Amino acid sequence: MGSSIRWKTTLPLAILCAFLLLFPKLVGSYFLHLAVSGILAMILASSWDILARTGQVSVGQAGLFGIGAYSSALLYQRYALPPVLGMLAGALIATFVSIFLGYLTLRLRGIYFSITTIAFAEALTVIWLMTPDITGGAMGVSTPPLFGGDREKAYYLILAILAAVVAVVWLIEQSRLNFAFTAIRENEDVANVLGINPTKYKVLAFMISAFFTGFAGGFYSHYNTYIIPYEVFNLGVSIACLVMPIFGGLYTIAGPILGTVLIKAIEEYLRVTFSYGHQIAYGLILVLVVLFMPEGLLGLWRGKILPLFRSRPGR
Amino acid sequence: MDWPSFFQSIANGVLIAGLYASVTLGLTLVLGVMGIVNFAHGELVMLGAYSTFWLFTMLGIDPLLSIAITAPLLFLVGIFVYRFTIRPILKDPPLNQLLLTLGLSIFLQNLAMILWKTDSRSVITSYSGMSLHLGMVHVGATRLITFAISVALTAVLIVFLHKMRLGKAMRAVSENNTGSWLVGINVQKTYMLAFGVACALAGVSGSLVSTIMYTYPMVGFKLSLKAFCILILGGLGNISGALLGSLVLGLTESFVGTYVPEGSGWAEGISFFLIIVVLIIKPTGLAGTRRE
Amino acid sequence: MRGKGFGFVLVLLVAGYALAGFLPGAAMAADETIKIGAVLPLSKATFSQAGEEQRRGLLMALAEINQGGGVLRKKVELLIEDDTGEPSVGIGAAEKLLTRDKVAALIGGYSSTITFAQMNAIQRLEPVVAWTGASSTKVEHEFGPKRWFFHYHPWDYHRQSTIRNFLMGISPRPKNIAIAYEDGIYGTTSRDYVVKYLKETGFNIVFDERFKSGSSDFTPMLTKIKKANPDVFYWVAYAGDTTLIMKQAKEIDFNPKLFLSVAINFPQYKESLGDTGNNVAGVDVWIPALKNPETVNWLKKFNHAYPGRTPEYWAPLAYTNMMTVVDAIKRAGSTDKDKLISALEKTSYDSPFGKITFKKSEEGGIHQAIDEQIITQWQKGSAQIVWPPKKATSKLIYPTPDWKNR
Repeated sequence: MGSSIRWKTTLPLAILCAFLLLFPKLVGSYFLHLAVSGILAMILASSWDILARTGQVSVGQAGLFGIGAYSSALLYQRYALPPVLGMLAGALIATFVSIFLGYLTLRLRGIYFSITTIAFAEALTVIWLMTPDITGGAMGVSTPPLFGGDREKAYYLILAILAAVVAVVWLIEQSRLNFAFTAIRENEDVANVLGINPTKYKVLAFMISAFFTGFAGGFYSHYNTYIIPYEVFNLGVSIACLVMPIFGGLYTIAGPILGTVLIKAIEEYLRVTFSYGHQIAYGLILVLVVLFMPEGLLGLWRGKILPLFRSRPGR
Repeated sequence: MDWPSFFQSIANGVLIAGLYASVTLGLTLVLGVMGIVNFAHGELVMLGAYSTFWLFTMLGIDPLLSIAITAPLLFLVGIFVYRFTIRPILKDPPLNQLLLTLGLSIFLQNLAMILWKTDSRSVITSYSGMSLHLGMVHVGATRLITFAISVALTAVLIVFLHKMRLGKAMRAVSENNTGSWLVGINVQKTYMLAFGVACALAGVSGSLVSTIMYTYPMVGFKLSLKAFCILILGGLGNISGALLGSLVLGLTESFVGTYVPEGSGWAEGISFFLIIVVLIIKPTGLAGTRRE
Repeated sequence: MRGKGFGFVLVLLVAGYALAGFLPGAAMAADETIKIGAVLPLSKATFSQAGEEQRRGLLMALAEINQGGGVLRKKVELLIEDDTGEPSVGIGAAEKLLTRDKVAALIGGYSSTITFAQMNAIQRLEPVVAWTGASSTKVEHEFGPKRWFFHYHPWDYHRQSTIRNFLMGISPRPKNIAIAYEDGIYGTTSRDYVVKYLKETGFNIVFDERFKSGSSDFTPMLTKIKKANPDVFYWVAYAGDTTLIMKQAKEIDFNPKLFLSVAINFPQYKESLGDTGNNVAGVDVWIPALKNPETVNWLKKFNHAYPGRTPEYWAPLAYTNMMTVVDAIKRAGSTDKDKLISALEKTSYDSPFGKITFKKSEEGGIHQAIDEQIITQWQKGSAQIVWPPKKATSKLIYPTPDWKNR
């Protein structure tokens, strides 16, 4: 039994890895761009999911994303910090902010936490606009194209970060963190009684989530070459972070990634076919998922489709 | 001391508080009775505002009179929305409720964008821009009327909740679900009607928005963020709290706008700063929670 | 079990990428038509009005061109992509048009930020870009000097220098100016240039603050401005804010000698404001009241295609954009990049904006089409041109009568 399980896991995984590594050679620049944008979204989705595992539903990831983006861009502009180091700096600064935010919102439950995260991102927009001497204000900050415009390098970088996120989530699932996060999510008071310190784990989840979200922001600023507050702190970014995991399946590794792939594909299709309000799909997806498949696509897969395959005799 | 500016600031703050209060009332009702924060409340306001606009543009109905139509119209919309999206998730964890109403909000905003485009729509009446001179203070006639309507609305709501049977039932249900059921109140029906009434309230405030501002697909969302701030400031599910919160927000915005350098830029961010500050000091809001 | 999960994900990932490959419009470019690609904002609030208006102009031009037999004996195909107001999408749309649809030229555009991101992404291809978007000089500094970049829309300083020249020409000359601007890029760049120009020419700025677009109440700000007693109140805002500002200015009885803004010729201006909108002046690129024959003829065509609509300048701008590009293709005799660039450089086309030629602009651009602007004023419910004198259809009303006296 042991060797056949490994075969089932490693073969598809190997094919997937080969495909991902060879991808830039297989497609043109347009698809490569779509892939980079898609992978960036996957990182945001997975990071959001890490935080959500502790029951903290953030609708303000844009705040951390924007901090990462601006840190990287401003450090380049002021001190010529190389972009990749800038992204790292962005990640670290976002993490630092998240510690602060995490402690501040500790006692907020459910929806009040979410509202506060929205307020956080919006407050940042206002602060940014009102302090142009420090932040560049409404005019934004521009940087030269990442890697001189070499999209392949950008792809490999962002792919590496995605791999890092996936690895971290996998490690979380293998460790005691998984139990702690789930217990806190299900019932924080009971978790406390069980000897799990909610503070420690909630802030930790926030930090991990913020690190990758901040890095993604830094990447975004150099890849897109120009950022303004209204774009990077935008609620739309925060919403995108949560629609994908919910669609694909919460609290899983594959869920956020799956959700992102499908939503991005649907989005691009809708954008090319219709002009208007393709964002309407986000709204519709959220409503339908909550009403009819609250465990997302993966839940649907495991609950309805997988059993169909299990009609074979025992394993 | 520049008294005219001072009193003008107070007047501005109070008047805008009237609008904010009318938007928050429906939200408060739903939260109080059902324990759900309806993220899509702002979109119901937006629908009310658009209804007013279309009634005005196509049938020439005065925006303030059209309340007689938008209130029942939004009531019915509310019943419909409740039946198909809210009722199924009443017992779900708050995460689901948040996501559902958020999804509804996004859906309705984009639907409005598809149907009516993104241009801002204004109504203009014979009394638009008319202004009253009260002592040192200038007050727009439309603002004053809409303020009066908000006050009337609040009064009607309070009377309804305390004197009328359905209203009393709503209060009972909000305080003790099982107890209410035991004394024969149809809890489900009460929930449904409460949601309908809340949407009717949203519709009315939409008419007010259309009259003193203008409407566009995202107008409801911006106002609902302020309404959340007021909820948190004033106590959740509590009408007098909502009124107090509205005044606090309205006056703060007005004074910051007038007296703080570059205040016009900071004023719109007040609601967010207030939310963060209040929740840090008192995580359950200024007046405590009823439910989770 | 785990393996099946991964297998599923693999299948779906590949399917996802494959699905994207079968998107409509993904087919390789055919040779029977001349393809031109446009990227416009069609679904984002505050942008889409301009995007939609451009689309109308483009479609008008397309119909006219093809009815006339197309160009080089081939039909012209126009591919319009929506950038949804997001830089990533804008980049993708431009890439798609250039690398997959293989368009001869990239036209359209609106937002400066998206333009910047797009041009950075596609500059390695050195495509022919004939752009109606972007007014920020950030774009001019970076891409204005590129030989493949042709720019139609006036730069921010063109607007603001027009305002300065206009104000200098008023007699008696106003002294005190109050400035309010929306806190985005649009408001901020306008304000930065106008402050620079007005200070240089000795005007006195008595108020200078930004506000958030979409605010529900401008009375606190207007109260402060009224106190400062300016001769001219100049603001930069989108349509919704402008209507509210005017209504509330009337409510608090604020009477500067002149209300001056930027965008006051949007279609719903009259419906939204009625008489309250009278006497307001603004700087604009073009309005239908212009008396030149190209405008008159163009309006006839527009009213035929879109009866009952009042056009904003984006429509004739996009029309001119398309026509000049196709004209250049004709003169080049092919869609070859170098030939097309040469042909574009030699453009001399009579448009509703005057004669279109590509000349140098002040901060580095080498291919600038339009720089002249006009000042319009709403008088008794219709938009009149009050400056420059050679284009004026009416005299400026200054000072504006008090609200009580109207």
